[in-house]
Amino acid sequence: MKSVLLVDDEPHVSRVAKLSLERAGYEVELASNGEEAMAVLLARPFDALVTDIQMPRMDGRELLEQIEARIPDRKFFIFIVTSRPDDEHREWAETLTRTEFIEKPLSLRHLISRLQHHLGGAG
Amino acid sequence: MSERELKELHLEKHHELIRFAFGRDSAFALCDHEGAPVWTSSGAPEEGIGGLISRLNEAGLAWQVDESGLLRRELDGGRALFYERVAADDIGWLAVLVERLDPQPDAGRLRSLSETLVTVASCIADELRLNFELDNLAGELERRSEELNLVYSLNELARAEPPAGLKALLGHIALYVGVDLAAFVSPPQGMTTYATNAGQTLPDLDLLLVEMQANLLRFVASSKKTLILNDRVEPRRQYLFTHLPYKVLACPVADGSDVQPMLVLLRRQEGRDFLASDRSLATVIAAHVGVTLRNYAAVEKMRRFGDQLAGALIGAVEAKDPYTAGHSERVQTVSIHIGRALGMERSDLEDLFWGSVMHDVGKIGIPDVILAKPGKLTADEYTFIQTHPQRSYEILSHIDHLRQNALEGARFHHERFDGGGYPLGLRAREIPLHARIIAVADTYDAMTSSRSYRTALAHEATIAEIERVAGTQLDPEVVRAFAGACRSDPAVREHIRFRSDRKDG
Repeated sequence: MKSVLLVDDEPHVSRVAKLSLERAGYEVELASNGEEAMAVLLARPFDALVTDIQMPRMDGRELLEQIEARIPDRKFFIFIVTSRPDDEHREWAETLTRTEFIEKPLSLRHLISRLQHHLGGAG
Repeated sequence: MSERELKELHLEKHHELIRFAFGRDSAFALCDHEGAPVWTSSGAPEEGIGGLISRLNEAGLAWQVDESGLLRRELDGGRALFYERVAADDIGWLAVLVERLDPQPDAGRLRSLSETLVTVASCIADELRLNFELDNLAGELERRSEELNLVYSLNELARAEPPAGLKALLGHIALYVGVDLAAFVSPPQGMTTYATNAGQTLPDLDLLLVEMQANLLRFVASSKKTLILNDRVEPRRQYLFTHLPYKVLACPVADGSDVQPMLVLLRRQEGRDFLASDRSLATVIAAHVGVTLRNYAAVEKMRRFGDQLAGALIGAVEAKDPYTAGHSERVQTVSIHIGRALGMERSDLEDLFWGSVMHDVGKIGIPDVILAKPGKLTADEYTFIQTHPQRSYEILSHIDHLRQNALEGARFHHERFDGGGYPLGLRAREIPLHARIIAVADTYDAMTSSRSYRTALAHEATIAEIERVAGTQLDPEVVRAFAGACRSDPAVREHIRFRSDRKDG
């Protein structure tokens, strides 16, 4: 079963997303900010990371920079959920590999479809 | 049953209970209604208890009531198979294989074992039902969240510029309705905005886009009705739409134009039919899009009207003095370049646009003989000329649309940084930033243009001259931004030079 780490500071959003992704056949773990996510990522491997950009404590961008620095041989795919990615974000994203932006409002069907695309199907 | 569905049953826990009742070495299996093993505690369904059940099935011996009325079969070597019905869709039986019951069980013990199995079976059936219910609820939740996204994007459409907003809306329609392609086709050139489901690629996309811009658009626009083509073989496909294997829903969008645009949803032939509910939803969305487009067109029309009116006013001023033809527009161009170089926000740039393009409208009140006089002005004439920024301000202050920054930009564009300008003799930072910018742009254009009293300077010489008066006539910071933009960005320099050269050449 492919595993996904979902990082969002809004608990109701992540709970609905978790339920939905689990129904689609993914194993889902939750983190509510970048700090928590980083600790989980260092502890065990995942197939994908889905993270919001605006979060308290450690935001999505900082989290990604930490990942670049501390997990240089990253295997997992990263989805960044953001409202209207601006040019600055796009420029930055072009420097990242195996990363995709997903626009808010987050569509769960869209997310599942992109997960299936990049992770090669569920399960 | 999927791996996930089995996992969610937590069968290891049930097995634990069974081992407690039947003995540590008892094996446990779940079978479908035909009796074929679906899950076994020994792992592989073909080995151990699974293999045993399969062999009994083949011999027609499994799932029979024994002489004591229990669901039990005694096997060789003291082994016994206990089983029980499970009332669920995908699971029909559960079975327990016991190597040797110790001590030899009496009727009471057997009955209590059988009751344990009944309990486990009903627990599993309940769990399956609850999980099924949870699946349905999760699906419903997902559908509702897509529905909300769709509503949000309808609302966004009214706020964002139509092309971007429309594309986002089409994306959400594709996800919510579950179609492969959602498109908005607008005549007369068949301009098409579209989105595929979750951004997936469609192999025949280009063909589809071309096809729907032709007869389908014409037909829907003229019938003014929503069209649904579900069947693969359908006479209307001959003249309406391609034979490509897609189901079609096309809905006209009443945007107030003569030939109406349309909303098209395409779903691969193997997908579900378009239903009456899809038709209603598409009609509602199309109506909303129509209203938004009508509003946008009306706003656009008013904006154009405003621009043209301003252009007419500027033209009237410039007609008074042939030497200043195009001056206002050039000052506006240079001002905006400076504003950008200073990092101004969009709304500030808009104020700067209006302040700079309208800065000289007050000249409308200055007699032509003074404005176009060749040679030196008398002191009185010069005093008269000096009233024009205040006149510009007075004329513009009647226009609600123009904000204070724009009005001040026009009013104070002849103030000098050292306090020697007019109308108020403000100095340095007392002069509003917009006015300090327009002053630089105005000076640049005056120097690079031929006037009644002198000939034009070249670009480089003008920049040098402007830098020379920085700190006395002009704001050094603004001058630095302007010179910097001209030097560092060839595009800006070319743009500005082109505009000043055009006038001279």
